[in-house]
Amino acid sequence: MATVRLAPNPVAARRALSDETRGLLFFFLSLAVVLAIWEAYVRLGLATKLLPAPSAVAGVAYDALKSPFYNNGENDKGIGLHLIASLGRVCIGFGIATILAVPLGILLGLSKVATRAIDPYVQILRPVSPLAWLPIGLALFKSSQTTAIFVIAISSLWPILLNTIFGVKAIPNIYLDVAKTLGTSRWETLRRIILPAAAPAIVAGLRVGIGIAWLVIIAAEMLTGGTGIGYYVWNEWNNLSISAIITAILVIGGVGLGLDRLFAILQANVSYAE
Amino acid sequence: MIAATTVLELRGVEKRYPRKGGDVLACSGIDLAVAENEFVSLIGPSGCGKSTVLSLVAGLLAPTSGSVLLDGKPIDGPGPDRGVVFQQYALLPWMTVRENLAFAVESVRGKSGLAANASDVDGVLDLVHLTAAAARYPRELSGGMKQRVGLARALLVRPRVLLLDEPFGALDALTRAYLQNEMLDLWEHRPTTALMITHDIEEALLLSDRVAMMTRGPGGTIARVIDVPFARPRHRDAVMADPRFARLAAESLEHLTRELDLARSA
Repeated sequence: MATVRLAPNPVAARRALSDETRGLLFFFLSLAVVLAIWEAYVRLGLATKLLPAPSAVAGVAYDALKSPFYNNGENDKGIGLHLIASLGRVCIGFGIATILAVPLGILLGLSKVATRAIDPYVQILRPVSPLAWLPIGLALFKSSQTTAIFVIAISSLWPILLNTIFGVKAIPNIYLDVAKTLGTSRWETLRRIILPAAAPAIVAGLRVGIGIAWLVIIAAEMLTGGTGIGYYVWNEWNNLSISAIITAILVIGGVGLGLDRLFAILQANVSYAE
Repeated sequence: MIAATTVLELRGVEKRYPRKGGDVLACSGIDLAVAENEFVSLIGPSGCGKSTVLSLVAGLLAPTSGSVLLDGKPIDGPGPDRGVVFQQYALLPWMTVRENLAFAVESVRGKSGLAANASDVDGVLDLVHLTAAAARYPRELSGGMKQRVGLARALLVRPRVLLLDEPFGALDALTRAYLQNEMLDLWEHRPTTALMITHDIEEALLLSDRVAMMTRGPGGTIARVIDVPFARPRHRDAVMADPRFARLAAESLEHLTRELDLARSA
């Protein structure tokens, strides 16, 4: 058989770097440009006095992250301690939301009557800004700590609830028919068929929920005070330390990304192909 | 010869689906008895209500009138004494082949009269030649393999009746023929009372002891039942070469074509 020799493709040759590498390269390039412009802008004295140069931010960030867990009393704690306080609240609030929303969502997904009955509550309460719940929480619990958790729970509840309902409703009837014809008990049907069938949708809801919880905790802590990364941001604003705030923003973003990745991994673990 | 015991009996079965502006009649006047270890096929033009009949026997639907009896007792909902093989396999995608089968075993555990245990899973895997695929997920199997798992799952709990809903309808011709041969083989090892829905005349003649032919829908009924005369054990080539096969196939085809013509002119 004759072999057809192809001339080297010039386009392919130029693409020796993968799209991934090239994308990363452009990211670092654009970052360097932005930082350079920012640095120059501040050094030329064009910015307000409050805005630090990126080099100054880096110095403050280094100090803050070098010893994140120091504790010099009520108003002087390391950023790590605040972060842990915030994560603790998010865990409790998000945990409460999950414990409430998943079983309720399954119940609602399985019953048309229950869905109709609860739908008005969901439709009215879901679009409410999380911060509108703050005064309600303060009135109910008279404790800023509990209120922060309450706000987290009530704002991350909706995506979990709606996704669980959707996931259960979308289960193909034939899977339930399999259970019926095998005489599977109700509990086993729930555990072995309904939960795994709806799991991808439920975890997608959890992923949205944890994202919202992390968004809301910052705002809630700014208002309730005491501890937490939100309070840290507010406190640093009172100290007029924009450098510390920028550091906190990067930390908040990083932790948010980490939480999202965690649920992405869980999502990959519960997904299945038909 | 002692008269064979009737396992499954349908008496004047009718099913109507309530709809706005009048009920839809799915099937009516269905009378059919299936004896112990007898294989009966129900064939008919599409829309004649044959799948409805299977759902009624499975207990997934309840008849509007008439009765469906299993061992003389009216059927009250679905249960593992009737093993269903679904056309679309209906394997649970988050479980491996072995887990799908074990799930069936666990579901019937502790229920009277059904003796399935974990070691049966290996036996049934061997029976359908899937031992090597036990750890695979359904998505990693071909259609033919999936349906063998479906068949294995239904056989595993040793049901009184096996209900087959166009079991090979979704498969290509070659795989279908292969699985039909396996079914014949399986029946020699393990005869089971069976009711199969199909629209494939040759499949019905090859596998069944009797073929019930339904009239056109809506509200189809059983027009006639033919006895399939081929002795068991059966082999595809021998059955196909038998002159009676061609005659029965032609007769059945004529019936179905006539029903379709009537449906068109109606």
